[in-house]
Amino acid sequence: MSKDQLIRVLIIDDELSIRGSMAGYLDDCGFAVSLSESTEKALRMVRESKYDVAIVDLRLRGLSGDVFIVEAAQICKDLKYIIHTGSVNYALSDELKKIGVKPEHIFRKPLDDLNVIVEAINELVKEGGKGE
Amino acid sequence: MILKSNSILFKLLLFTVIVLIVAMSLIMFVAQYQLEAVIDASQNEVYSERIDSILEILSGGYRRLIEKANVVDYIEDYQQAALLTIRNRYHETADYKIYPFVINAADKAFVYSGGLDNPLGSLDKQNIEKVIRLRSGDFIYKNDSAEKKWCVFKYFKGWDWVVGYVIPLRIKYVEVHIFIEKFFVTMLIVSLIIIFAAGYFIVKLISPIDKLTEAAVAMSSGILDHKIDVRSKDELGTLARSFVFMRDVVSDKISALNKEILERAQAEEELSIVRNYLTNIIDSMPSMLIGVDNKLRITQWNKKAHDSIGVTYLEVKGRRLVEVFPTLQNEINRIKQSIEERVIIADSKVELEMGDTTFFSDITIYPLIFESVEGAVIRIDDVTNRIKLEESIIQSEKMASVGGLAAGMAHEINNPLAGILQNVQVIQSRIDKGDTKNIQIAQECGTTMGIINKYMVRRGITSMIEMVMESGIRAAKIVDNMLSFSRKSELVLMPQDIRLLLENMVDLAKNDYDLSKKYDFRKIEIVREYDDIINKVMCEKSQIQQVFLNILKNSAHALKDLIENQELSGLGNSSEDSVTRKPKITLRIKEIGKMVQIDIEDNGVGMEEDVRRRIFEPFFTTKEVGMGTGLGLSVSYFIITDRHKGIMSVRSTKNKGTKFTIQLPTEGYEK
Repeated sequence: MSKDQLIRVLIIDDELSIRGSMAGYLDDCGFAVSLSESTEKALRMVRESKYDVAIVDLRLRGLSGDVFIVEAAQICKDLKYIIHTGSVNYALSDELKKIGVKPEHIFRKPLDDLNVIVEAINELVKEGGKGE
Repeated sequence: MILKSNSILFKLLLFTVIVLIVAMSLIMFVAQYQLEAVIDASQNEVYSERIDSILEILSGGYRRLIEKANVVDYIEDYQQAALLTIRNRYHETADYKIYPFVINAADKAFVYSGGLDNPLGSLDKQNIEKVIRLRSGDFIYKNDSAEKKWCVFKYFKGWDWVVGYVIPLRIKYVEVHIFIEKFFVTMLIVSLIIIFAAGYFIVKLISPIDKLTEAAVAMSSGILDHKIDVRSKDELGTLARSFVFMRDVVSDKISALNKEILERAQAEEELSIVRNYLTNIIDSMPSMLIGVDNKLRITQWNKKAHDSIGVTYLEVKGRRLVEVFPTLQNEINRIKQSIEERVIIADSKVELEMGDTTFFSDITIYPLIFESVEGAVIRIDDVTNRIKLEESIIQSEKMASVGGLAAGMAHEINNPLAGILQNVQVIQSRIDKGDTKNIQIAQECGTTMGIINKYMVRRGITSMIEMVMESGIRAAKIVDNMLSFSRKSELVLMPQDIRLLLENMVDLAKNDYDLSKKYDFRKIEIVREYDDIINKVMCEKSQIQQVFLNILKNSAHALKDLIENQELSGLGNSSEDSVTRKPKITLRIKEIGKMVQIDIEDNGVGMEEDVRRRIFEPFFTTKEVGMGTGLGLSVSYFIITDRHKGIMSVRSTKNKGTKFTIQLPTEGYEK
């Protein structure tokens, strides 16, 4: 990945308010942002395009966010994941752990400082960069 | 059979012997007397005849003399011749010859005084005169130490002679004596025979008495079955048999009595055991049991009562109930009613004071229902713990329901909150005048970021946006706090030094900007009383710190006025009156048994009891609207009691201060 390219972030959340504000913030920070309100749509998007990091809400209409992660991992091995959930008690399943999701990648709503997402994205991308 | 000096046999024999002796003596005496009289009579005759025969001789001689007519010449010859004949008229006894004597009355001298054999001649002058004087008769005389003698004589007129015999009485009565001797011996033998016979007979007769005595003696020394064999049919036999019979009856009676005594003793013992057992039961009861009579004087007082009130049964017995237990004053009417109407009356959650503590009790009054007994038993159970438990359960359930609610809706609320907070952040970033993209777009719109900002500030939009942010954050915090009550949690417990945790929060309190906006924590004097060595506590560090911080904030709030007064008065006052004393928080940490106890005590405004009681209730708050949520203490309580199985309590005195106490199990004792 070259330094010139913007980091591509896919935001999956069924609430427009959250989706939109997150997108606006990340856009202001200089990321290339895409949006989806459902797992199904997001999977289509992942098949068609390349993304670096996906910010996934767990509770969605239709298939839930962790299903997305499992499926997407099949499609794109390099894709990194951040979980952004309103759930209070969430524990990573073994499957997700195998994919590489760690507890520090889970963020609880509401975030009073979105910068932590920015930092997480940069961290993940750096890791990914080293990995390559 | 022993011949004892006090036995019947001895007495009887003695009696017999004495009787025999007396009888014998009497008989012998009488016999002797009679015999002597008889002998006297016969001897009189005998000797009279002898003397008469001598007199005849003399008479013969005399007559012949007279016939010869030569009296004077031949008188002496004839007298001699007569004397010669007389000499042969001695009477011979066994050892003795009794010769007659002849006395010449004119000469007062013996003509013939017996032969050489005759030791007589013992008639002395006086007696000779007596003989002469009496001429005929007899008498008894004694010469000094010689024996008594009997002198019998007759007068011979012819020659003026007295002729007689002298016979020692010994000789005279010799037969009597022989008789008496023989009689004595015979009597002795007979006596002995009688005595032995009597002895034998008596023995036989009184053997029942002996046996009876034996049995009686045996009985008196406790032997009641001493066998005796009495077969005689006389009164003694009957007596002995009756005695034995009576003794046997007595013996049986005694056995029966003994058995009864034993049974009684057993019953006594059983009774005693039962009594002890009952007392034990009554004393083992965890309830106070107080018995009163119908005048409400104390009749029973169990151990629990003794322990609780501190007086013994002996000290309260008979005294009036209210005297000993004044706080029961309010129950008096109920007690009286219970006794009168014979119904059980119960009263629950009654507050009783004992010394300086108050406890809650259930009081049940049981009337005594035996006919003749009036009174009641008052049972007092300390239910303080139960009530506290009930209250804490209610508390827990409230919290749990809050937690349940929270858990249910957290998710629902967090999303819109995220919407609010996120959008506000974007807004804030997009009014940042330094951002290149903002500047560019502003320019495209025909204005500058400066103008936009100016407008925003003047119209207060900037600050409003900030307030939206703050509100959103606050809302999020409330939800977060409420979620503390929800059941599911993954606690990671680590051993912690509680002192460190508390000190961290004190530091935080001092440096927290938020806190210092409302009250300057640094103006509060912090006093520390920490034990030197404390075991670690297994706990979740951040939660415990949350609790400590919460309490410190509460303390600071309570000290608000004092802090302000400090600032106003400038110099520190050390007076302790309610308005001007120095604000102080005392921190104590000590290990008590298996727990570590933490006290956080302030000397602030304190709380009324009705406030204190509800302080851990969710959403209960004394602060003004907008200040605090009322959740802080309830969450703290939950964290300590539910999450860490500890104890949390608070004591407070209005205008004096408040003390929060937390107890946590030390490492190894947490469950």
